[in-house]
Amino acid sequence: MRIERELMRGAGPVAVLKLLEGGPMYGYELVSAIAKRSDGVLAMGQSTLYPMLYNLEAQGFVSSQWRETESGRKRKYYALTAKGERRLASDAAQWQAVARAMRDLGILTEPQGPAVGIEGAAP
Amino acid sequence: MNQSAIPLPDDRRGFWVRLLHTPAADLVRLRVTGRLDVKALMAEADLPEPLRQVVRQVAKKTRLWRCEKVDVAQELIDHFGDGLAAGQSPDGLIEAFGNPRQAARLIRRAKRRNRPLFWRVWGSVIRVAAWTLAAAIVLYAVIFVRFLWGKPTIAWNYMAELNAEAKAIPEDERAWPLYREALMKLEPVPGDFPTEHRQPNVWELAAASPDEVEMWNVLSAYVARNQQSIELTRRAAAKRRLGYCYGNPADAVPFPADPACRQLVPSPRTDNPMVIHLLLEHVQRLRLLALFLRADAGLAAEDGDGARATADLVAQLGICRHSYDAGRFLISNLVGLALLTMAFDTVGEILADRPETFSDEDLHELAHEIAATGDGGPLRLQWEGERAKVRDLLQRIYTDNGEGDGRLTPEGMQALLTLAASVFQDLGIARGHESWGKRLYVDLLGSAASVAVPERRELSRLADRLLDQMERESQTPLWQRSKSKVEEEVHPLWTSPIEAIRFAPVLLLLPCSGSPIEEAERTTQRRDAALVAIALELYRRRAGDWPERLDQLVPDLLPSVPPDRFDGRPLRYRLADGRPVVYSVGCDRVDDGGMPPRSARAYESIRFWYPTWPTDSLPRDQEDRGDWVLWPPVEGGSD
Repeated sequence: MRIERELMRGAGPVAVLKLLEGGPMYGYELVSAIAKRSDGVLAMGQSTLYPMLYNLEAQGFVSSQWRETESGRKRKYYALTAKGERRLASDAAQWQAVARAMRDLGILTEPQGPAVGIEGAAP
Repeated sequence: MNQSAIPLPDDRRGFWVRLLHTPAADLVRLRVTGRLDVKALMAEADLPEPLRQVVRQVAKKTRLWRCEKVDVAQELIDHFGDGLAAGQSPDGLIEAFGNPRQAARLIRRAKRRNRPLFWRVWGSVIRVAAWTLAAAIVLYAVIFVRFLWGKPTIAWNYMAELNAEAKAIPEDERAWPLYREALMKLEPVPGDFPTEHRQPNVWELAAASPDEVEMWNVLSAYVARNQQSIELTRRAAAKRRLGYCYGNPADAVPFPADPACRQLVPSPRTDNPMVIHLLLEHVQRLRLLALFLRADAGLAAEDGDGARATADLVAQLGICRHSYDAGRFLISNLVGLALLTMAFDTVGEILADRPETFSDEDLHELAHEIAATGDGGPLRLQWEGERAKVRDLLQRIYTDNGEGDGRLTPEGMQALLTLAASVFQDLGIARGHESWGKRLYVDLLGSAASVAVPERRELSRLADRLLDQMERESQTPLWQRSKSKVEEEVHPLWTSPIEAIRFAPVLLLLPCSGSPIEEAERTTQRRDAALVAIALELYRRRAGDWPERLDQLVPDLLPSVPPDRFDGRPLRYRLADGRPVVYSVGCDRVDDGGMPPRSARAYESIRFWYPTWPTDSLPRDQEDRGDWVLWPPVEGGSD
């Protein structure tokens, strides 16, 4: 199922920050991880991902660095900054509140598992 | 972001190409890396052509700085490289990437947010400035169109009012037809002048004084030959009203006396010309005839013909009255005052040099006629013509909303520039420029000025208030005058460039009231002195000697001793060597016993004295000290 753009605009960044919480990742790796761990629900085109990464970088939530891999390829890795960690905590709390409200309203019928690997976003 | 880790393209490029694509930071370290070359980066990329095109398209459309483009391109190359390595097809990668154009736009926006603070602030400033400029341009365009849209409504016609007034005068009471006939009968000026003189025109001839012996002789002969014109002038001057109609061919004057001056009293080109364009050529003609009358009075005195001299002098007074009647403009008033002064001086000169010229009856007639000027009171100025000028200009430069208000129009702007031609000459927009570019220039300037120039009602009220104040000040005797409120209000407007432009429509037309008002007082003084001189002569004839005091003339010969216009006290009088001296304390208001100033220069300054501030700022120049001797005429200083 595809998510509406407006909803994606709010969910995308927090998903990226959550993934980076586990360690630095490069662009293709992020795209693949999001698609895989959200079962395609939060899959986003690269035309969306990279501007989002640049925005997060401009806001100081992530930092980037070119690194050479073992295979000799050079990749740009993105890592969560301290500011990004605070933002992630704040966003996660908000999402939890939203999920609670959705559940109270009967929109969510059962506790949501970590479908996108955003542990803690669900109660 | 660590850009030094970006893979550099193979350096098969020339030195200069690499130099051009090397960031300043590398050059400082003496390294010609050429790593800002997106094309080279693309050439080196190990990607299928469709993916390469996507990267190239995105990098190009971001329109970012070169270092940013290289960063984006490199990351996308790596991204697609990773995708291919993961087993995805180029088409699948392209499809998963999304719209390159949209990606470029979003990347550009995100990357710009990542730029240095200074650049972002500068960008904001530029954006604000650009929007402000755009808003100003739009606002100006609206103002410009509104300005071009405005059309004046010229409903009022002062010339028609003047002409209607003239036509209402019964024909046998109109003076102008006789003046016209007198002018037409004047002979051309003779050409046989003394060798030391160039050929004078009729004006120079008429203004000759008895001191210029040869010219005076020519004038005497000319006047003697033109007695028919003199007599017509006397008859015209006796008429009650002038009765001149603007634009009436019957009132135009051929002028044989001066062949160089054929175009006389030109008819206005329209039925409703601007009031300021109404020429007063006919007033100048009246002045010419008055000059001939003055000469004829002098000649009559030489001949002992008192009746003729009296008739000439009375006719001069009539011409002054008609000059006042000509449009009731300040300038025609001033001509009238100048002619009155000339007549009073002539009376004084004849009384001093040839008193026997006049019979008692002549003197009584002269006294009666002179006392009647100004309706017996101080000579005043008329402001109706000045009000008409302002009212007429405002109706021509502003629109009319029917409630006395309106805004500046293109025609109005052109009219203002014509008025201020001398001021605007340097800008190349003086009168007569009709080219398309100049018109546009004037319209652009005018639309901008229309924002600054007050609307019609405000200017109209300002003009009314100032002219009312001028009129009040003109009715205040010289000795009671203090600083002019008009000048106090107008001076700051003139000295402020912005205010001068804002109120230009009124400031350009407002007369300088100070000097005319003082001239009216000065002429009143000379009139009163002429009446005193006549009374003194009549007293001498009755009593056999001059009186000791002027109050001896009251009430038989004078109703009262006239006031000295400088201090309000009675005119001064003393006997010097058995001869009477009538004098004023003059501009310093110190009674020096009737002694004129020491130098001839100061004497001239007294004869033509124009006080700046009669009560506040008295001249302190030694040469200006002394009294204004009113009668008998003083030829020079006491030196």
